[in-house]
Amino acid sequence: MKPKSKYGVGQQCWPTFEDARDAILIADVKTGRIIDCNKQAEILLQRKRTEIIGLHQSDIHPAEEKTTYKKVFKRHVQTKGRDPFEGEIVRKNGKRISVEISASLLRRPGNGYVLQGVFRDITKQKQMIDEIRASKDRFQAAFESPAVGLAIVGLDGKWLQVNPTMTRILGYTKKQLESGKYQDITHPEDQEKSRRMMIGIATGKTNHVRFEKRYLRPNKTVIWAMIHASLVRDAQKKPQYVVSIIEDITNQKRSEAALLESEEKFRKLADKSLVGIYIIQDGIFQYVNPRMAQIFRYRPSELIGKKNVIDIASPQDRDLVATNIARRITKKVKTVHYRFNGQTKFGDLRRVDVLGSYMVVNGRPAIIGTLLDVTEDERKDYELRDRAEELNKFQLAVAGASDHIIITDPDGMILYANRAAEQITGYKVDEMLGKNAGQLWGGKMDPTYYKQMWLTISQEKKNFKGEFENHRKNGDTYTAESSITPILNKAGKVIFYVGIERDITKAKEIDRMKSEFISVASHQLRTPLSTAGWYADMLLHEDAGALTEQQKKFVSEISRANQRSIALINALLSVSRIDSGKMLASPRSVNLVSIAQNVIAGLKPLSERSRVRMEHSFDPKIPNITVDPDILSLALQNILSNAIKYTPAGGKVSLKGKFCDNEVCIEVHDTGIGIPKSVHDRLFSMFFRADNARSKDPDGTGLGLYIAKSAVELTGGKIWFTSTEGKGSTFTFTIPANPPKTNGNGTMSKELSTIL
Amino acid sequence: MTAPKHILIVEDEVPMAEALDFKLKQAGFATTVANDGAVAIEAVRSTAFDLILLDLILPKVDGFGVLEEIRKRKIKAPVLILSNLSQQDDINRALGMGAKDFLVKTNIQISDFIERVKKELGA
Repeated sequence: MKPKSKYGVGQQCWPTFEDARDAILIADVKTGRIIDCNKQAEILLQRKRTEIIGLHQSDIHPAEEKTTYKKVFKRHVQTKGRDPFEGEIVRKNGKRISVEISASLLRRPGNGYVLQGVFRDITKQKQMIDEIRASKDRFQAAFESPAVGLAIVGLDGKWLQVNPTMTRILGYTKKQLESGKYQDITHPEDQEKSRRMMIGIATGKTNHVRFEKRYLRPNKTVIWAMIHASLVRDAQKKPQYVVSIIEDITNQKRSEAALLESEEKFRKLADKSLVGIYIIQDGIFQYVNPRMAQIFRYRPSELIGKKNVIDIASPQDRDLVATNIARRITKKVKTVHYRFNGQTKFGDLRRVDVLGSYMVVNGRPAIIGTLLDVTEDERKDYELRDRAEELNKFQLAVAGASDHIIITDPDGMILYANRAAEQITGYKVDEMLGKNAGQLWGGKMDPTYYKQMWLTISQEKKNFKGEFENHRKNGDTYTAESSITPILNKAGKVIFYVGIERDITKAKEIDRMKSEFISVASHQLRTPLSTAGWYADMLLHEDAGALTEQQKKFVSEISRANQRSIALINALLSVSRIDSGKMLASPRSVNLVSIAQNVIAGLKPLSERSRVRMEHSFDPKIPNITVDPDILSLALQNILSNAIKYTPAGGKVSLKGKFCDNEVCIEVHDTGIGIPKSVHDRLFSMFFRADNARSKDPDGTGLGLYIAKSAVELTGGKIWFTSTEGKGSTFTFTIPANPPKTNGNGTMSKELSTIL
Repeated sequence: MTAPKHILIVEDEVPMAEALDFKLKQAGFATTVANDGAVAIEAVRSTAFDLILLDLILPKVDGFGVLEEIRKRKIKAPVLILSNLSQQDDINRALGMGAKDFLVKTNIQISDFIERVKKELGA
């Protein structure tokens, strides 16, 4: 059955008008009067249809809203309805009901237009909405709270809503955020992580996730955030959106990173440190760095948690270490710095320097400290101290030495002079420093001598020894025996010179006096001897008349004794001169052959008397040699005369002169009595005479070979012999072709005695 | 017959001077003995000798002083040094000052020395 409508409007427009679920009211657009309604309208308005029809459309709305509704009606007429809107109607009993109104303009056939309003009772929805709104408000309050950043995010990542804290954290405005997705501002490195988390939630695998991520702020700075995201589902359990709580953990992160970094830094520092680092608690190592362990020859793992501190102290220092630990633990002193003798795993001692401080670890007292191995340092310190002491001793020795000692730079400038230098030269140290010896006491000799000296010390870099005639400050001359030594660095460069001088003026004077004495003594001794000799000679020549055979024999004995005395005195004088160093040679270029021939000629009377044949041969290659001819003669004479004397009549003495290796070699061979093996090593001793020599020639002095050896050695040569008793002897000596350099140039030459 | 050669003996040691005087006279020479240097200088100033035997160590003026005088006066007579000094520089010095020879008393017997004189004077 169709609802009957008086005006047939509802039927005409909407056949289901009467049975519609919503209330429908139809008003005339011109009058605004209601001209029809359906059953639901009766129910909604709680009025009879008859009561309703004829009412002005505004009459069904609250009285204070009537004007508004009239305006709305007119607007709807103009706009032909459409937009549903919320409104209120008032029932007969005055109760207001929320309704959703949708109006539409309908044409009344042949009779203009009507406005149909469909009213749906939305009280329940309204209530729900209000309830929702109430809870939403509460939520909003929470949402807007500044404590945390909150966001509602769509499953596609779109920011649906963000709270002010969120905007503050992220640095974007609400508008900026809500027009984009979270992906837009997620740090590139965290995009993947965020995506995974979102998928996890959006697919419902999980309802809640918590993770850290980074966002990029508009100013490109990075912020770290802790995200708590929860899924919100609808009534059908379908995922709707995600609620995210965001905490700014940037500072926390930063300090975490800083902490990590600094821990890493300190760990590295400790691991690489040359200083031992340790933490002790309850007397046990809680931490040691590798160096600390190494100092005591342990591995860190052997110490940490295992070893007691006193295990690394030597037994005699354990009390000391224990006391110092106690002092720190009890906070009597906060920091202790001291040294003790440590002991390694293998028992050897290490000297260590410790700086330990009190600290709290895990709420309990502990000591953190550093430890240095100073074993080597202390050893060096001691060494240095010893060396300094030694140096001091040397300095004192040098300063107080009786010899004049100076140190100069490579140019000869005086850098140091000792007290003796002051005493000898008469200059004060201050006057000497920075000057050259030549400006002070030297420079008075032949320039070539100084040139030679400089050549030796600066070019050859060898020690120079020589005598200098120097002048004291007061003008007095003095003779200095000097030794100048270049001191070289590792590269062989001269860094300074050390000059040591001895004032030998007095010694020279004494030598001169000695020489004079010997000269006078020789004269005085020899004068009466020669007088006696001459008178004996005159007697033997029968200048005083003929002598009987017996008288002749007696005078001959006197003459022989006289000759012996003269020979002995001459030999003693030679020895005396050689020994007192007076026979300093005057080497010059000489011809060995002619010297030897002279000596041989001089010995001819002796050899003839002894009936000993003499032979000689010389290598024609023998060059002129530089030697003092008198020394050479002395050596030759003694050896040859010995050879003749100790060779029986009919025997032979032969001399051979050879030249090899830049030295002349003279060999004197005889067929004499020979030298007993037992006395070979004593043969050159002063006054030594072999028994067989004594019996052969009772008049010998025992000085000949001693003089020969001394003479040869003065020339820088060597002398030796081979001999077989009863068969003969060979004496050989060498003379260097060039004199040894020890005497510098010729300035040391000296008169030579030829007391023969 | 020519006059004997005149020899000046300068020797302070009297027995030696006497021995030389004796032997030289025996050998046919005329002699004059001077026992010190001053007398010797006096002698060479006043007398022309054929030979001078000169000791070196002498009272008043030593042998070198006498040699100096002889050199100064350009005396041509040969001078034989007869001394017991025997150091090389004495020898060199004497020879350098014009002495003809240097003989060491202990090293020569008087008869050998007379032979040396004879040889020098071409006797």
